[in-house]
Amino acid sequence: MKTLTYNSSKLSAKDRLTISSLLSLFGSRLTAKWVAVNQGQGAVPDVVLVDGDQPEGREALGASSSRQTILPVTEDDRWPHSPFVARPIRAYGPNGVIVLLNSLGQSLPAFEKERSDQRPEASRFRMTGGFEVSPAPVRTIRPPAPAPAPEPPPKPVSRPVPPPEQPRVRTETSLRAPAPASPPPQPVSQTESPRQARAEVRWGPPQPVILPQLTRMPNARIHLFGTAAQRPEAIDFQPPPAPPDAGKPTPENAPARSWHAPEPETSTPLLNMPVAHKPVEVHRPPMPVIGRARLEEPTKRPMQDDSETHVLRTSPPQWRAPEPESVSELFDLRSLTQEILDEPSASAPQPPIEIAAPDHPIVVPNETISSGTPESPVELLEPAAPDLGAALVSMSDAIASESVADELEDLGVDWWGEAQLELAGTGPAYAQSEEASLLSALKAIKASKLPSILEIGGLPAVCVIPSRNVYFTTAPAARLETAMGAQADVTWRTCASEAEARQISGTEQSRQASLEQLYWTASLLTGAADVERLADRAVRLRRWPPLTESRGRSKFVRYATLLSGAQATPRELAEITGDGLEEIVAFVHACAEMNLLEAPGKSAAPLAAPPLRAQGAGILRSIIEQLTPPRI
Amino acid sequence: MNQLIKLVISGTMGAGKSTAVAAISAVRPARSEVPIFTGPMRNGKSTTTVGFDYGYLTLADGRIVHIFGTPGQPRYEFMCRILSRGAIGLVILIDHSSAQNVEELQYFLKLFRELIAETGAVVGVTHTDETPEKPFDVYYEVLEQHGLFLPVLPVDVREPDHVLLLLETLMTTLEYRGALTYA
Repeated sequence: MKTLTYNSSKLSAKDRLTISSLLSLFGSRLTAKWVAVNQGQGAVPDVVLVDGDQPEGREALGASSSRQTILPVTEDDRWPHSPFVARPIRAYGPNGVIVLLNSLGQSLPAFEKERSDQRPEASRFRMTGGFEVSPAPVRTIRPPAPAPAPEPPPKPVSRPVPPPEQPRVRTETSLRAPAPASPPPQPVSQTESPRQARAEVRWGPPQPVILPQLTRMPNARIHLFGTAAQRPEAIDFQPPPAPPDAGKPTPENAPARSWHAPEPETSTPLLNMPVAHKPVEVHRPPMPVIGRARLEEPTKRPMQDDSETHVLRTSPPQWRAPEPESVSELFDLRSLTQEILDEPSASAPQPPIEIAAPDHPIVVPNETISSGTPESPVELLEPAAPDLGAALVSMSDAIASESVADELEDLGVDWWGEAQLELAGTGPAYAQSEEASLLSALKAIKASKLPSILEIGGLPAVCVIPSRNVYFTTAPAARLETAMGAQADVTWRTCASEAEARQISGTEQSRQASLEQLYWTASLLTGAADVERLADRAVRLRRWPPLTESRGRSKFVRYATLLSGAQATPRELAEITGDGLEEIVAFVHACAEMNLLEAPGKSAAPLAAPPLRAQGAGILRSIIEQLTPPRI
Repeated sequence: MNQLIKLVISGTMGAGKSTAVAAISAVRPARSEVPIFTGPMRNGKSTTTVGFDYGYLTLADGRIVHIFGTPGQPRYEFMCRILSRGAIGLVILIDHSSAQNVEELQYFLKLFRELIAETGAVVGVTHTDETPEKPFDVYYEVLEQHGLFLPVLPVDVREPDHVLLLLETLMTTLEYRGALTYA
């Protein structure tokens, strides 16, 4: 029996609890006691456990005295100074015992060596049997340390009890495992000083796997080999007597029996592996209630009159009327317009009216649009009569009017500010245009800097936030682009705040997108009105367009690359690239709309004959074209 | 015929260089990321590249385009110089949400001055969704100060299509600049 005292002031409570639990497995063989540093009462502990990962623990390692063995507990599995206890101890599961015993066993001889001049001869423990684990959760409450008791006599060899049922965790140790390389056992004289057994567990390196917690080891035993001096039974390691029917063998010429492989019939002393003194708390779920939950006998009551007898009848189904769905606050102005337009047709037949007909621009009163709220009444949107339409001036016409522009320029007034003023004034708030309806709407919204709701051709509403340069919509990008390319109807109105705009448009959960991207796409799809006029105009890029989400961007990348280095006309680009002139003009027109072109008067080098390039560009194709074998 | 086609993706810490390499690499890229213990963190990142990221693209004819991602921290500037040797192009990623985005672009323009002069480069601006109101003109002003006119494109490097746009723009620029002359 070895009484081991160890100090663990530099160790965490979790590690101490783990080590205590592991050492309690050997309660009958080893008595371990915790000794606090300040309560040592003069006794020097055998082993001092310190935390090797903490500065205090490393200081304690450096200042260790020769009387005590410092055993660090560390997470560094390559700790330079052996022995040490690898952390996490709990993660090793049953092998945590081995890790701890290895460390303790290597530390104890060093201490004993200092006490005695003789080199202690090591004895070895080998652990056999299986560790049984329980799937049930176990509370790890450390029991009170067992009092030191005299060592029990060794038990004779007995066959192991059949292992219990599953689940089990088998150790890799077997009875046929190779024995440790140590000198053969010699009888120990009684005069020799008692030596402490060295615990050496040959189980190989611990496997850092997380296993269920070890609860008890009913079949685990320790086979004691070597010269454990204080054990008289160690002498029994002599070869067993030969059976009488073996023939010639005599004690003299009998072959030296190798004890490397202990056999079951030998009288090798076995020590019962102690069972962990851990209170096992079995969690049992309450039994499921099947059928009637009340088990007691029903109380018998006398029969009553029929009038007082309660009869359970099935109640009529109480259907609850479904609640009306919340009405969306988004008003579809076009649908209202359609209904209103249909009303006069019921009384007096009128010719059908095309809503999106470019010949009959629909003018929405500004008070309905600019200050439009869901509660505000929507006024009748009459189709523009030919005479009335002639009297109204659309925004595009106003923009195109040189006289108006000159007047604004003379007055020094911002053009867009005038447009905003016109929205709030008596003029038409917004007029549809056949060619640049979406583009002009985006321009107006961008100039107003107010959150707006944009409706394009029956698609879900688009919430535009010009101040943040983003927009929100639930419409798929492909459908949005298709609608823009088809020059669909566009209506828009401003809102007081972004939250209101997003709530009305139903885009609270939508992902934001770049307004520049939408503006670029709209500019690109609008196209240029006068192709021939722009075809011979030399241009040069001052900024690259946002090509991230553009279709057919490979061509645009080429156009932008050519136009970023030098001036060129769309006609020259068409000759170089082999693409259509209209497509290049549309690109140049979109760049002009986005203010990406340099001023015409700025000097720029002419385009210097770039290399001719085949169609179908792309990074892979270009690299393949450039890296053809004969050219390399 | 072991023609080395090497592209370098560089940029600020947290701009998305490792993500860009992973987005277009044909295989799982080799990374050298370690947890961040010191220094400021960007965009909630918990790791940073200390060596380089490596991925590659396989062309239809079997050739391989090697893609290297450099570390973003200035302390690993030497790695940027090593990785940029022999590259045919450079992609600079700038975090648009960073307050020092202009200074960071200036830093990388100076760092890769020789490579940009010899070959070409493209600037990808990331994290634009966080600060969409910030203008892009500042990048062009910085480029003009260095006598350059490079493509500046807003990208989301999580989208492989956007990263391919950067590479396509870079290759197209190199092609028309005559830098990619193997003939």
